This record gives sequence, structure tokens and C-alpha cells, in this order.
Amino acid sequence: MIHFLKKIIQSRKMSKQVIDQGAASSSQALLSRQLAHNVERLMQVFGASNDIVLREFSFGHEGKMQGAVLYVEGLANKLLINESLIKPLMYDIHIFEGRLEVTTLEAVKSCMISLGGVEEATTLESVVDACLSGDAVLIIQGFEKALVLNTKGWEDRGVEEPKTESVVRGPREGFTENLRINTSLLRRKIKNPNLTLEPLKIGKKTKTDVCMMYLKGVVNPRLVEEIRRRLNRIDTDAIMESGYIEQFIEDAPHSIFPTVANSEKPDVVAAKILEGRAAIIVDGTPFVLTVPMLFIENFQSAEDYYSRPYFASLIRMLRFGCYGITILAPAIYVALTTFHQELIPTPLLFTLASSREGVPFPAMLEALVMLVAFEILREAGIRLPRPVGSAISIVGALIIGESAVAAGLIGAPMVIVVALTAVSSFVVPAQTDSESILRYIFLFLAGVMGGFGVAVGMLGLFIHLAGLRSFGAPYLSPLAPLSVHDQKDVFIRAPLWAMLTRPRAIGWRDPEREHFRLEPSPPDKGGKSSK
Amino acid sequence: MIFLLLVFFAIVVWLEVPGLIRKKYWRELAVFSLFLLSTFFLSLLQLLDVRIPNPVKGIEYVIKDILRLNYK
Amino acid sequence: MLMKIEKGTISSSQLLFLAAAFVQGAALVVAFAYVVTKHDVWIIIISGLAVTLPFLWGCVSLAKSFPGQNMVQIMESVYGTFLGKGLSILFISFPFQVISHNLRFIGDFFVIYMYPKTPLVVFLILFIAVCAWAVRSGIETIARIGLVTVAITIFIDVLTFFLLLGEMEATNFLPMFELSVGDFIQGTHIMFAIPYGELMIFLMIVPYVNKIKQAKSALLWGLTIGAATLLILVVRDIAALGSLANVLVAPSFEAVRLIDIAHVITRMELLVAIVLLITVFIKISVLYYASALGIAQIFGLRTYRPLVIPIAIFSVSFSMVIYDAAAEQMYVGANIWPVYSLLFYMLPVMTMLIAKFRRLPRAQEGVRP
Repeated sequence: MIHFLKKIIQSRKMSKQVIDQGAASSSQALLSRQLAHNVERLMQVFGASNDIVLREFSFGHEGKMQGAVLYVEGLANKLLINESLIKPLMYDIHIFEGRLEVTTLEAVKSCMISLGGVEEATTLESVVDACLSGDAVLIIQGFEKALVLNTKGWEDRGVEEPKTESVVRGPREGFTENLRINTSLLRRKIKNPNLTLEPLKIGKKTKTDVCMMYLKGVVNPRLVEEIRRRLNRIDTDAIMESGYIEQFIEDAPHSIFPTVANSEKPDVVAAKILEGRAAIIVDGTPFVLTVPMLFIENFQSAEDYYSRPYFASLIRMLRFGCYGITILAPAIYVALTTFHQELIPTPLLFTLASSREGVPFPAMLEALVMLVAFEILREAGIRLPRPVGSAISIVGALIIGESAVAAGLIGAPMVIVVALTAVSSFVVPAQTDSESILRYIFLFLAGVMGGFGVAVGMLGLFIHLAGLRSFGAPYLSPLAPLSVHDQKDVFIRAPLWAMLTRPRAIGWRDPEREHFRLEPSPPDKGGKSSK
Repeated sequence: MIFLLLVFFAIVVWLEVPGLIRKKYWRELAVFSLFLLSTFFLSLLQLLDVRIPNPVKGIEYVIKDILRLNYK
Repeated sequence: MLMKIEKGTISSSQLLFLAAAFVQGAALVVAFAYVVTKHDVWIIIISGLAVTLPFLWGCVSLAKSFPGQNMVQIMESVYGTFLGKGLSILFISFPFQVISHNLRFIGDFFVIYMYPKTPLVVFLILFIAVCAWAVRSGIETIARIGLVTVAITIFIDVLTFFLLLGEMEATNFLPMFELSVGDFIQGTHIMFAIPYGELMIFLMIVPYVNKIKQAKSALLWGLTIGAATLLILVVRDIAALGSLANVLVAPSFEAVRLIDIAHVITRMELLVAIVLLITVFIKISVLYYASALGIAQIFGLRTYRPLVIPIAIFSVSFSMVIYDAAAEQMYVGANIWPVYSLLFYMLPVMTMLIAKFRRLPRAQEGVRP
């Protein structure tokens, strides 16, 4: 207890210290007029790394101006630097001879540099940051400002089909690890000036570029404010992936359900932005976060909207059913065979009893062992190098399963149940992590208390979900705070021409999505055309 | 069994009390302790198989025998 | 002193479904009345509804004249602090007791029908633990579950009704209207006291509805829908079971056991157990919530959350003690409890009359929410 109180006091002191330190470092070293001085300090900061390139040169009328260009090889586009920065300064300046005196920084900036992004920098730290982001820095003798030039160009994967989300019909573009390419992919989907980008740098040591994208006018401004507040609150060394950010900003860190969605496909994220959500793009990962997240998003896939409604509704309902199966199947099987044998129809009961004859373990233990074996196989399958992958699945599925049944260690119905569970778990891919945990919880409850345990467990699950909120939107909306209009996209997928409004919990700022009466119909006979 | 009861109540205290102290909810803490202590004694008595007077029987007695207001 | 302990709000439709689920929670408690009125139970369901509607109307009017104040606050406004707190303690002891009775009922049900060898305590503890979790999450969470509960309950009730059509015999309703006046009054009284009248504790919840004007109709409609569901249930049971219904502890359960369509759709009684579970869950959670909130209000606390676990432990202890056997609960429920509970039902009526007499909402300043 006392130790606990001490820790609280300590953490308060530490946060004060961080603020003090921050204040101190903002009064940083400024560049001086002496080129040599600047260069010396920069070289000190960068140390011995040999991918930092420093090119000193003289230019201008009679070579009077001294300048230096600093960039990081590999991050900056060398061709661009040579062609558009050094060459104009060294050669093309002679075009202006006699007509224009290029002696000020302004003149250099506006007349000499044929590059798109040019900014001025005054502090040492900003120069260092710029260099490390791939920009080139031009320092000129006699000026205490430096020019930061956008010359980013590094190796990239290129836009490919995402491996985790494949579709039968729909675009096969996926995000890449480059922030700029990702934002451009989103821009291509939503050609609207209201699509706003808000950049941030998070991570003390990694200074990762993070960008928030939303559609102004559709998104709730308080949501944006809340996201900004939570992002600015992150005070950590490294942001390696969007998952780091997700874990720092999520609403319910102790819940097994995610309250922040992610996706690798631009069309999915664009659709979510259009519904009133905000996207958070992190440089270095193709997984883009979207907030707020509702529970039913796990069951909605992009493909649903590109296919026709009746089939899509069927598949949607199948997904819900599979979710139920994958969580409850082992638990129900154990509950029925252990506690409630009277609920099984008699012929089936005989079959089950005879197949479980001679199995030494109680049903719950069997189920547990099989589920753990399945998890092992699944995890191994992800990490295996490709050539060996198929061999393991054959070994796992056929050999282990078959021989376990043949040896009488596991009953055959159990293998069927677990196989069904396993396959269903991949129908709802977004939820594999929470499903796995839930399965074990329900199995345990069923093993201890039978049907009552499962029922109580489902109640508990529902209570937990009903109490979750994701950035202000109730997690089970539109089911739990019931919204009749939004039922069009939950268990069924209403035809696109019927989806007139945005989801109420998220897009209430701009509710109308499309015009009424868009249902297509063939033109009437007699030449009259219908709308 | 008494040990289990103690463990259970210890867990309850460990879950609730730090939150209350952190928020400085002294009055709530007082009421909570009052309730928890009484429930502790009640369940302890039950565990020790001490017969607790049945309030429903009391009500039944009052209404049936004294007031004779019952239906049957 | 309009301190709001609960910061959540619920919508009026959520209130409606909560009320309906609450009344549906008495599906098997209706069995208490079978002994008294035999196969005319369906009559007293309707008459009980007729008696309760004005009572609830009065309760909600009371709530509307004191907007934003839950019952304990209203009592303090009407009676003054000292007497008000005393009467509030009386008022809050009602849901507090009823929790134990309901908990015991559902525990008994599971022990008798499904798990004969498991000690009662296990069910009591598991069930109250789930209810405690829901109450700690707040009224919004409970309200969200109310809708699903009502949907599932109505679906299963209608489904079993149609499945049982084959077994039903209209002659089971005869002779009709042969009830003696005394039995009729007792039956109606049971209905009023147990499923319907307990809705008065919604007076603790009504102030948190976001559109208070609709709260009145929501509550009354909720009661009606719940009563209608009970009616379907009772009609189904009487028609299917006949005079057997008078003797059984849980006639709904037994009735559904009779469903046997082509030997495939059998053993549907599990559905009844599920319905019972979720509706009684809502009932206990609402009562639980009302008592926790009420006690917190009486003591002037800022939050009711620390009270949740002690109330749970109390309820389990009491549930173990109050009845020696399930049959005793039927006897007490039919004969003693209706009379005893009148003591509590008088409170809102009395409060309303005195408030009108003292012309209270207008005479006091600072009643603006």
C-alpha cells in the first residue's frame, strides 16, 4: 500500500521533470553566421556516421559565396540534389550575371533553387531533423538561416496486394511503408479538398511521422480534438508500428476487444473516412488505424459492398454464425457431453457415447489439448518459411489428428468440433485474437458449470461489450443503443441505393449520404425514362 | 473454508480501497467499510453454521399470527 | 441539492424495454398464482395490469413533478431531511429484499431442474457476480442489454407457443370465471405485488432518461408489453398442461418439455431456461442498481460503486437463509408477500398525495434541474 502511494508520487515528480527538460531544450542552439562554425557543430552532432554527406562549394559572382549542402545518403535523392540544387547554384547562377545580384538568402531561395519544397530553418535541431528525414540542408556563409529542401527519396516496397486482406472482387492496392504514398492512395480515393491531413511527429528517439486524415464537415470535430489530445499525450522513445500508437490511444487497454480498427487497404480506409471516422497513418507500416471502431466492423468486409446485396447479406449472416461457432462450439460440446446429456437427441447420444468409449480424459481436458494444439499449429504456420509450410499443415492436420484418434487419446467428435472451430475462426479475421481468448474462457466455464456457465459467460460478454466505448461511440452501436435505420448494415447488407444515411453514432454531422430513390429500374416502355 | 472467506474479502478490499483512497472518497470508504464488515460477520456466522434468524419467517409470523392478514 | 450520482442517460425506448424485460422476469413467478386461481390465471394477469396502470401513472407523475430527482431525493424534498431519510430507508429496503427473493428463485430453479447435485450457493454467487458486474458498469449498460433481452424473450415465447399448438386444448380453460371473489382479489393482488408493482422502483431510474416527457408512456407501454408476453406464456401453459399446471413448480418449463415434433425438435426446455436467465438477470440488475443508488443517495455519497460488492454478499447470505425449500417460496409468495409489500407500495402513493397537498414543486425554489 505504501509502496503503491510512493509510486504515484514518484510518477508525478517524473512528469514534471520531463516538462522542465522539454522547456530547456527548446531554447536551442541557433545557427551562426559563420559557415565553419555551423559545419563543425553539425559534424559533432552526427558523429562518425559515414552516410552523412557534406559538400562544400562556392558559388555566386566570382565565387564569393560559400555554401555547404548536407544530406544523408540513402535517404535523400542524390540526383535531385545534384541537378536541382548544386548545379543551379554552381553553373546557372552565371545566367544572372550582371542582371541580378544574388547575394541574399531570399534571392537564392527564390531565383536559384529549382526545387518544390523549400523552407527556412533557424535552429540546429531542426536542421538535424530535416537531414534525418531525407531533406537536404543548404547553409550559406554569412546567413544565420539555413534552407531545408525537400529531396526525400528512398527505397520503397511499391504498391502491392496486401497479404492479410485478400478479396475476390475489389481493388488490390495496399498501403506501403511510406507515409507519402499512403496519403496519396487515400487522396486518389477521395478527391475532395475537405480531406485534411494533420501531421505529427511522435516518438522521442524515432521521431516517426504520423498523419491524421479526416473529412472536414463529416467528421465530428470533437473526435478530431480527442484524437489529437491522445496522440500528443504519447511520450515514448519509439513508435515502430501503428500498433504502438493503437495501444497508447485505445479506450479500453484491459479489454480483449480492440477499440481501434486497422486496415491495409485504401478503399476500406477511404470508406471509413467517408462515414465520419478519422484515419491515423504511421510512417513505416502499411497498417492504417481508423477510429472510432464499432463491434460490427469486424463483420463487415470491403467485398460486401462490391458484391450484390442478397449474396452479401448471406455471407454477412454466415460470418456472425461462424463467430458464434468459433467461440462456443468447444464449450457447447463439453457442456452437452459432460452435464446435459439429456439435451442430445437419443440416436446422436449413442453415437457420441460409443465414440468416446475408452477415451481416458474428461471432455474438457480433451478440448483444451486440441485447442492448444491448434494454436501451436497456427502460430507455427505463420512463422514458417514458405517451402516448409504445406508440409506442416499436412503433418498437423492429418497425421497428428488421425493418429490421436486411432490411439484412442481423443474422441473423433472432438476433432471435428475443433476443426470446425478452427476453420470458422478464419472467417472473421479481424477478431482472431479476441476469439482465441474467449474460446478458452467459455470452455472453462462450460467445463465447470455446464450450460449455466456458458449462459452466464455470454451475459458477461454482452455486459462487457455493452459498456465499451470507442472514442465516444458506444461499441455495440447500432445494436445496443438501438438505431433502427442503421440495421441496414449489420446482419444484412441492404442494397446500396437503400443506404441513405451514415451510421448514426459516427456520421451524425452530415447524415445524408445519397439521394432518395436511386433504385435502378429499366426504362418504361413507350420511351419514358425513369430516374 | 474460513480461509477462503478471508481471502475473498481480502481481494474485495484490495480491489476497492486503493481506488477510493486515490480519489479521496473518505465518506464512501466509511460506508463501504461499514457494509463490508457487516457482511463479513454475516457470512462468517453462516459459514460456522450458526443459525441466522430468518426475516421472512418473522414477517410471516407478524402477518399470519398477529395481524391475521394473510390470505390462507 | 440536486446532485446526480449517476452520470449516464438512457433513452425512453431503452426504458420501455427495460420495463418490459423486468416484467418478463416474473414468467415463472406467475406459478405462485396457479395454486390460487388455477386455470384462470390469465384473467388475473389482465386484471393485475388494469390495477397497476393507474398506480404507475401516479408514480411517474410524481417523478415528473420533481424532474431530475430520483425517489430518495423526492422523499427528502417532500418530507424534510430527517423523516425523508427514514422513509427512504424503508423504500430502499424493498428492492434490497426483493433481490434476495429473486436470486433464491433462480438458484432454486437451476438446482431443481438441471443440476441436482450442485450446491445452491454456486448459482447464487455466479449469478450475482454477473449482475454486480452489470451494475458497476452503470445504468446505460443494463439498458442496452434490456432490448436484446426483450427481443429474445418474445421470439422464444412466440416460437414455443406455435410449437406447442399441437398439444393445446381449449377445454383446459373451462370452467371459466368460476373464481370466487376472494381468490380473484388474491390473484390480482399477487400479480400487482410481484411482477407489476415492482416497477415502482423505476422511480430511481426515471430521472436519468433523456427525454422525460416520454418516460411516462415508455414505462406504461413497457408494462403492457411485459404483461402481454406473460399472457402468451400463461395461455400457452394452461392450454398445454391443463390442471397439471396447478401443481408444478415451474409450469412454463414443463409445458415446453412437451414439444415433440417428429422426434427431432425435442428438449426445448433449454430455451425456457435461457429466457428465465436473461430476464431475471435484468430484473435483479435493475433492483440491484436501484438499491445501490438509493443507499448511496441516503448516505450522501458521490458514487454508488463501492456499495455494489457488499450488497452482493448480503444478497447471497440472505438468499441462503430466507427459505428452507422452494415450495415455501410459493406459499409465502402467494399469501404473505402481497400483504407485506403493500407497506412499501404505499410510499409513493402517500408521497404523491402529500406533495400535492403541500403544493411542493412550486413552493420550493431551487428545484430547477
